[in-house]
Amino acid sequence: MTKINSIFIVDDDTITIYGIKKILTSVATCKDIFEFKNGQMALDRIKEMVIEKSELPDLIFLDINMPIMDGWEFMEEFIKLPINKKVNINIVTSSIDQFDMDKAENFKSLTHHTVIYNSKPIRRADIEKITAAISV
Amino acid sequence: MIMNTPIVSNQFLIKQLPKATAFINKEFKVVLASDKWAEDFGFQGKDYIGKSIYELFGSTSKKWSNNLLACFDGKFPESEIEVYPDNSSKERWFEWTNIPWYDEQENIIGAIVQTEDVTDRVKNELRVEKLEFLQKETGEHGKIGNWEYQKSKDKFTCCEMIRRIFEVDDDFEINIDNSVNFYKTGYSRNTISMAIYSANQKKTPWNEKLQIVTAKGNEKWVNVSGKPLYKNGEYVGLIGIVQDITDFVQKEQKTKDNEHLLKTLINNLPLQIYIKDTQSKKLLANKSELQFLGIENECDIIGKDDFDLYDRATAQKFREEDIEVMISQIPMLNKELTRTNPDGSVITFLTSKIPLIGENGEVTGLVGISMDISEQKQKQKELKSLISVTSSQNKKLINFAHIVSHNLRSHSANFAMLLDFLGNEEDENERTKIMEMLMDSSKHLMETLHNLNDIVAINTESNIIKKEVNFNKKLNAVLKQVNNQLNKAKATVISEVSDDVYINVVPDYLKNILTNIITNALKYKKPDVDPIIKLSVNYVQNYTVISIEDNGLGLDLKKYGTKLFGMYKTFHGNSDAKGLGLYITKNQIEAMHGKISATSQVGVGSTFNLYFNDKN
Repeated sequence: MTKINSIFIVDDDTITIYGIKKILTSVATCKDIFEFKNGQMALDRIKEMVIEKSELPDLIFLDINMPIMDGWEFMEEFIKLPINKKVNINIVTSSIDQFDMDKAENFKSLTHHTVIYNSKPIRRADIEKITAAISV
Repeated sequence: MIMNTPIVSNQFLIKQLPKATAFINKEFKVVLASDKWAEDFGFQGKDYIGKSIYELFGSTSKKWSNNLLACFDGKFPESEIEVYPDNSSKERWFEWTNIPWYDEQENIIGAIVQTEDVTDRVKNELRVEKLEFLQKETGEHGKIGNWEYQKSKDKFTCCEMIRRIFEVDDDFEINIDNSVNFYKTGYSRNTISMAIYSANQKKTPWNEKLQIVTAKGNEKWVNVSGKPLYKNGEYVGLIGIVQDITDFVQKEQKTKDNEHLLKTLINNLPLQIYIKDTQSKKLLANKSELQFLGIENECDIIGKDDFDLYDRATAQKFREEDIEVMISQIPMLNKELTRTNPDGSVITFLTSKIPLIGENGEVTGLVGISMDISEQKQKQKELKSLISVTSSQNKKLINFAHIVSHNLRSHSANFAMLLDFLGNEEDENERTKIMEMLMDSSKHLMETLHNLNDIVAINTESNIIKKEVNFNKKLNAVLKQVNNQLNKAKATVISEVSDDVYINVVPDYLKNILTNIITNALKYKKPDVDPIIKLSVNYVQNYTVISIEDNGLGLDLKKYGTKLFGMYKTFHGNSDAKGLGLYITKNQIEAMHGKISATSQVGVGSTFNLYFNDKN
């Protein structure tokens, strides 16, 4: 079974969080899974971690539509942070709008982090693939 | 010497000779002369006998002197014509005939000089010569031929030009009868026949413009005039001229055709066209221009300038443009001008002014072309507003579709995922949990659909019925309904709106809008400050503006401004925020042709401005 140190789930929908967590625990061994209700909360935590120089998450599941700070606003701020580590960012959204897909592509070209666009519902196979790629 | 002259005794006789006669001796002195001679040369009452002719006449021509000398030699020289200025310095012409003067012994003792005043004859000869020349030249240049008919001899004579005009062969003999046959049958031939008949019978002259067909079959236009000749009241013949005016008529016709074409064109163009002289006075105006100015006849506008036609300021502006165009010689093209009519309607023109430049390169005036594009402008405006409405509706629709698809998809994605789990889950507790989640999700979906339905209803109710309502009455009704919440939050509501303010609204919408904004103010109050909500009224253009100010958390509009009224946008992380209230508010106020705006400052509060449209 693959092993992952730290995972962030940024989503305001409790059902999606439940689903991701349920699949994750069945396909990989995860040391820490952190939940955030919006982009701002996740960003604040990451900023703290950068200052503390603690281990940043290996994998972030990111929703687009969230209050206060949505997924795109989070991305904009996140790629500006001085992070050398290559973080795997999985956008998980119910949007199938080409505009959002293009936006994701654009972020891909702007950062050294991995950006992957996933449409909901997220399946076991998707998460197996994601975790396998970043297994420690 | 004189005394010895034998004729002296006949002096009395000579004096009376009817012809001007002088006897001159070999010393050129006048010995005898008739009174007529003295009279002709103005010597009456003067002592001219015994005076030398050189003394009397001043200078004489050498030829004349030689002539006299020849007589003294016994010769008979030919008569001479000499010019002689009389007292009033008019030129007079005399014919001198000199012959030798013999005495009884046949000795030449001088010369007898006879003179005749031929001034009239000379002048007539000169006049005839001039006339003949002029007639020939005018005839040549003007293609004018003349003819004459002598009745007594039944003889028709004409000049060469007539033959050329009729294009007859050299051996063709024109007479009064066959000349008529050259005139085109119908009007022309009838006219000339009648003219000749009338001249003959009623002594009338004629002058007509007629058509002929020449001997070679060419059609020509001619000007013919003539008159009968009378001698002692008796008709003796006819005289007349024929002028070939074909070129002239054709040119004239061509000019007329061109003018007609141009006139037709100018008058039927859907443009206002005029020509002005350098003083900006109108020389021409077409139908459209006249119609525009409300003038019936073109002659009523000719010679008028813009100061006669427009108000002073407009006319001055036009005159300045005219001067600019005429001085610079650069056309002013498609300039847009607007003019406000006395009735307040605005007309928009597209005007061009083109300088008219004469042959010598100087400006002689200008041509103006104007087009009333008010209708196009209005259409353009309507189109723009239509595009703006359409694009805003389209944007709204896309946004709506996007939101709908996103929300429905997120629910269906959850269903799919949860159902997937349920199928594989064996743990009873876990299965119950999933089932609860499914129930929850389903409830949310129903709610979402309900909300969407409400929004669709607002946007599709095309003929919403607005009513005039008293604002404070409606406000009080809302406050009564949310009384519990207000009390719980310890809120104070202050209405600065006076009781006589009425607004034009859909009553249900107003109720919903007020409820929404007031409850929002309570939801987003500062935790430790009692909310104060203040309402005031203002009037902007066609709108009655109700402002609702709170002292709540406030919002960074720089960051969230564009999303404030968006669907499913929440900003404070409150669990009961659905992000629908302001979206519906906005939709309702827009459905009433109003608008909504907000100002806010974090930590100070927010103000919502509701623009209620008074007109429609």
